[in-house]
Amino acid sequence: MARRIGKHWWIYEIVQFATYFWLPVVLVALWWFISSDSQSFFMPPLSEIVQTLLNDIGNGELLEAAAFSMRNVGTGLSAAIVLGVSFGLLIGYNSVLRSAVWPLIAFLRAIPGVAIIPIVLVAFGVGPGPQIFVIALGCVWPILLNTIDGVRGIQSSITDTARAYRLPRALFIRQVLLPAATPQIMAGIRISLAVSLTIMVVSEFSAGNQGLGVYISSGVQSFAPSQVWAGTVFIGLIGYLTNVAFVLIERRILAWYFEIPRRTATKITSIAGAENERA
Amino acid sequence: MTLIVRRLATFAIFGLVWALAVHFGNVSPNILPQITDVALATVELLGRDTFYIAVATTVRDAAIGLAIASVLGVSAGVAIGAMPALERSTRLLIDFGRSFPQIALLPIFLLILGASSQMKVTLIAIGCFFPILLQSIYGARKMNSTLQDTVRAFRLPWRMRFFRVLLPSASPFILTGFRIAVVVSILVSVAVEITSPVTGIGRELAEARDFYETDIAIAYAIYAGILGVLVNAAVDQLERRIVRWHLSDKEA
Repeated sequence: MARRIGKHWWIYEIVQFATYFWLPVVLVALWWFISSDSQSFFMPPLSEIVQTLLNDIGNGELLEAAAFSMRNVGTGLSAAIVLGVSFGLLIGYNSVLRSAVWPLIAFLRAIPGVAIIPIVLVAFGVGPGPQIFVIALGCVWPILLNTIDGVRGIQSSITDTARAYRLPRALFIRQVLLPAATPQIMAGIRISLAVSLTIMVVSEFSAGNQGLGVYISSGVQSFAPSQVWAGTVFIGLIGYLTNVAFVLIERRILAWYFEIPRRTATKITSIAGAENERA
Repeated sequence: MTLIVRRLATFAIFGLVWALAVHFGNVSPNILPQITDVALATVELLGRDTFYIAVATTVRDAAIGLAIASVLGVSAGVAIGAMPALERSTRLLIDFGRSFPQIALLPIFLLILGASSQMKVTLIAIGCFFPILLQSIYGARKMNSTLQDTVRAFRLPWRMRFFRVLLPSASPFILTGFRIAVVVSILVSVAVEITSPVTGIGRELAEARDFYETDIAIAYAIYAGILGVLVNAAVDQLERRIVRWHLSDKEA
């Protein structure tokens, strides 16, 4: 594209770049100037928020809190992935089992993860263990359901071929079922990623003595609004970065999938489309 | 017939494992009450006035938040989807907003608006806004080029273009977004009620838990799940009615 414009291609590049960035830049600048002489106690100037943010990153308080929270998120999500994928492969492939457990799964997954939080936290107290448990419990359903869907979507010609060649079961699961279901599994994990952050935040708001949610809610209790804002902005950055990281990993794992020509890929017409369908 | 037997059997096994684990594992009722107690609690709740008030409040606030999010999300989404330049300019903001765990905004709104229904509705609206927005953008972008050229050739005024062309052609996608948002509205509502003192299912649940009435708390969690299933079924019906033309189009 840039080549065709000739020797001034860099102008084109800058314009392209600017179309993506001008609005966020303008909005942040507006926030900065409008809030600069803010008299409202609850809406401190952006400069003050940034100062608190940099200060608490510098002294390690925020990073420590983030490390605690994200370790819980990572562990809980990993547990959910292992459980969701393995049970999903089993249930998805075994049609007798699937038809039997489906109503139970539909019933259990309808119970919102956030509603389980107070029940678990009062029973097992606060600390990493219960937090990880509620995160895993909330995140397992999207992954389980997507894995089941992914396995069900495999063309019967593929499974028939595998059977005709008498592939050993372990090989069949690893080389046929799992790769075929991976696009759907990744879609499930992406949903669970959002769920895990929400559950992490809610569980730390409702109880706990460490983590990002606690950093924010202690700002409320000590009437330090700039701490509340700084923590919220920081969670936003973490959420954004984890999503970006996820998309990069997904592109790498699913490179073969995204390369499939449009006509043969039944569900997805473009990468952007795929992301939107999942949201 | 065997299918029904099998399905009932899975529920029976689930209940039996629960009952036996509590009975022989000497689990304190604080941690996991006996399944029969939970069943009794679900019945007991139906006789309490506070239960109906809590459900009504949660549903009302979720509906108001959802309505606000629908109006804003659809109009912004269709506009963004129809204008590629706008889509590029807002992409970073939207990506940031959708990956933000919106419930983390709770303390800020708690500071600004206090523990009120207003605060809850605001958070619900923010949570529901993004799924509707994204699907609306996607729907408007997907409009086929013949239609686009026709609209241009006839120089349709923007109002007509929006209401007669863009909105109907995007409506199947918008409804998908709406369906996601309906579930989100209940989730955010319950999450806000659990973490702040505003009335609703979540508040009742958290309070029951604070009094160590775990069976009542679990019963509320089950009702929250049933509520989610019911609103989902309602949206299903709505979807079938509104986009019947789209479905029949596909079949033909």
